[in-house]
Amino acid sequence: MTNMLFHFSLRRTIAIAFIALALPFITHAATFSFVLDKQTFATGDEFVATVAIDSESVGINAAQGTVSFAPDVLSVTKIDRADSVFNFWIQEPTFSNTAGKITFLGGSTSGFTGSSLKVFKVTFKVKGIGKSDITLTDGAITASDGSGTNVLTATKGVNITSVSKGEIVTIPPPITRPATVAQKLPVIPALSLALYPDPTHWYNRSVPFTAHWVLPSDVSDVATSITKDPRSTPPKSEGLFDNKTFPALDDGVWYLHIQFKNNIGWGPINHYRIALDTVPPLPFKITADPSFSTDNPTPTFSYESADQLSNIASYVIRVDNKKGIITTSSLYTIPPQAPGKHRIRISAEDNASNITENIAELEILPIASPLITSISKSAYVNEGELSATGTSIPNATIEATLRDGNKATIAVTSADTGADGNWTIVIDKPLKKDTYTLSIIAKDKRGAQSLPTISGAIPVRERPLVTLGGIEITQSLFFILITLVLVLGFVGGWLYEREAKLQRRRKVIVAQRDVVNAFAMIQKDVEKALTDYDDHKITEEESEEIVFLLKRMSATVSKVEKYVSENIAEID
Amino acid sequence: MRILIVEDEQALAKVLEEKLIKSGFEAKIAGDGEAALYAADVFKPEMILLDLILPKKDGFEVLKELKANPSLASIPVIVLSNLGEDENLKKAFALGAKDYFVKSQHPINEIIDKIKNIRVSGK
Repeated sequence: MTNMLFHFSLRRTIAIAFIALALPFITHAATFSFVLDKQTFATGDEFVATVAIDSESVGINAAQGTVSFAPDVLSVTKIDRADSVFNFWIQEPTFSNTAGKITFLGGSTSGFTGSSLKVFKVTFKVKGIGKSDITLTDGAITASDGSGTNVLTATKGVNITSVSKGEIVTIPPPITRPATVAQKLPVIPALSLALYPDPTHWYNRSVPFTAHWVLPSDVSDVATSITKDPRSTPPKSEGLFDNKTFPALDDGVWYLHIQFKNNIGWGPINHYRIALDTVPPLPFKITADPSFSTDNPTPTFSYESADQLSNIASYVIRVDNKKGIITTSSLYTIPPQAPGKHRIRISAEDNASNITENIAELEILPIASPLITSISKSAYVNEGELSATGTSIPNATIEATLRDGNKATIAVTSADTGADGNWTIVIDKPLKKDTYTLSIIAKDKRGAQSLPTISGAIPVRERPLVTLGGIEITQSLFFILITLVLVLGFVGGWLYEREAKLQRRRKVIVAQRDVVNAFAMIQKDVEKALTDYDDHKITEEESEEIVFLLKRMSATVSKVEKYVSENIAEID
Repeated sequence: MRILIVEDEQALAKVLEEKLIKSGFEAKIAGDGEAALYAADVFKPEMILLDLILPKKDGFEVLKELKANPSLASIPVIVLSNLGEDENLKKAFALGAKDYFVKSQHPINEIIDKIKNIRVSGK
C-alpha cells in the first residue's frame, strides 16, 4: 500500500512537472473555490458544486487536489468533467463516499487565465442532517511558467448545512412598511450588482451574486426572475424586499427581470443583462512564415483561436519578455530580432477576459559575420582616432561598438559597405586610459544581423614625450622621474653635506691633536732644558743636551709650520 | 697601491683615508682586529697601517696572525700607535713590523709623506 501511494505521488509529481515545463508563462497566484447556488439544503436534496480556479491573471495549465466532505452528511452521486478547461487527466476525478474524498489531477497543453475556470462538477446528495465542510487539501495549481511553480495561494471551502424539509428559507425576510399612495405606475427599478456592474460587459466569474435596488415609497411588491429571455415577465410577486441573492449562473446571456408594483399596478420591467463566459478561448496553433528557424529577422506568425460565447477580443504577442503587442489580427509580423533563440508567446483573450495562451520557439539565424582586417594597435589618451577596416557581405551596414575594460559602451558608430563589402570605421572620440574592445556586427537590408566580431584588446595609453632605449617616457613617467631625481638629489646632497661636515670636524680634531702634540713635545723639551739649567750652571754635557733639545724644538716647530698649517689649510 | 687602515678611532681613520685617496692610494678602513684580518684576506692590501690598541683583537695579535699566514705574511705593516715605549717598539719589530710611528710625534701629513716615500722607494 505504501509503495502504491509512493508511485502514485511520484507519477503525479513528474506529470505536473512535465506539464509545467511544456508551456512556460509568467505566473503569480491562483485560488481554488467551490461554486454552488446555496449552502442550506434539506435531506434528500441534490445539488451541484463546481470546483473552479481563479487564476488571478496567471497562466495555469495543471491542478491537483483532494476534495473532502463529511460522508455522514453528503455523498457523491456524479462527477462531470465535460466542461473542464483541462483536456487530459493523470488522475481522473474519483470519489470515495466511505472516506468522504475526491482526488484528481488534470492538465492541459495550453495555458489558461480566467476567474472561474471549471475543473469539474460534483453532484452531491444530502443524506443526513448536520453540517459538512467541503474543502480542498493537498492542492496544487501549476503555472505554465516553465518552472512548475505552484501558484496556489488559497482554497475557499464552503460549509453546507443540512436541515429537514420545511426549515429552508428561500427568499429574504420581507420589508414591512406602509406604502404611500401613488398617482401613476411605479418607476422602472434601478439595479446595482457589485459582481456584474455593467450590463453591456461579459464576465467570467460564476458565483452566487446579490442584486440591490432602491425601493420607492409607493412600492408595495417586488417581482424578480432570471431567464435567458430578454423580454420575460417575472411570474409573481415575492413580497417587498430591496435585495436578493441569486445562485451562480451557467455560461450564457441571462436577464435579471425586476418589476415594482404600487397601488396603481405593476410598473415597467428592468431586464438587466448578465453575460457570463467562464470558458477560455479554444487552444490554437502558431505557424511561422517562412519558418521557426530562419535568417529572416521579421518572420510572420499566424494563429487563430475561437470563443464560443463572448468571441475573441484580441491577441497579445510577446517576444521574449518584452512588452506585448495587442492586435485583433490573426497575423503578426514581429519587429527585427537579433540572432539567437526567442520565445514567442501568443495569448488569445475573449471579451470576458478569459485567456488561452500558446508559445513557440523561434531561432533567428545570423548572417555572415564581418571580418576585421586591420585595427589600431593602440591609441593615445584623449586623442581619439581609433580606426578599423574590414570586409563583410556587400551592401550591408556595419555597426561598431567600443567598450571599455568594464564592458561599458563608450562609443557606437556605423558605416555602409559598398558592393565590394569593404568597410572602414573611425571612432574619433577622446578616450581615457584603459583597454578597449571593438565589437562589429553587420546588418543587411532586411535588418538581419550577424553575430558580433570582437577585436583583440586595444590599449589606450599616454603618448610618450620621448623614447629612450625602447622605454617610452610619458608625461606622467617624466614627472615621476623628475620628482625622483629631485628627491634623490636632495637626499644625496644632504648626506654629502653631512658627511663633508663630519669630515671637516674630523680634520679639525686631528689638526688640533697635531698642534697639541707638537706643543707638548716642545714643552717637554723646554722643561728638560730648564731642568739642566736649574742650578744656574751649565756643564758641557748639559750644554750639548740643551743644544740637542733646541734643535729638536726647532725641528718640531718646522714640522708644525709645515704639516699642521697644511692640515689646517686642507680643512676647507 | 692598496692600503688597509686598521684604526678604531673613526676621526683619524676617515681623515687618513681621505688623504691617502687624494694622494693616489686605494684605501680601506677596518675598525677592529678581527675586521682587519678579514679585510686583509679579501682586500689584499699592499700595505697595512696598524693601530695597536684595538677592540676584539689587539694590534700585536693581528700582526702575529698576519705574519703567520703565508698568503699575508709579505704585506708590509707600519704600526701607527700612541704607545711610544721602547718595549712596544721592540715587540712590534720582533713580530715583523716594517716601521713604527708614534702618533703624538708625527702630524698626520707627515705620516702621509712617509707612506708616499715608502711607495717611491719601494721599500
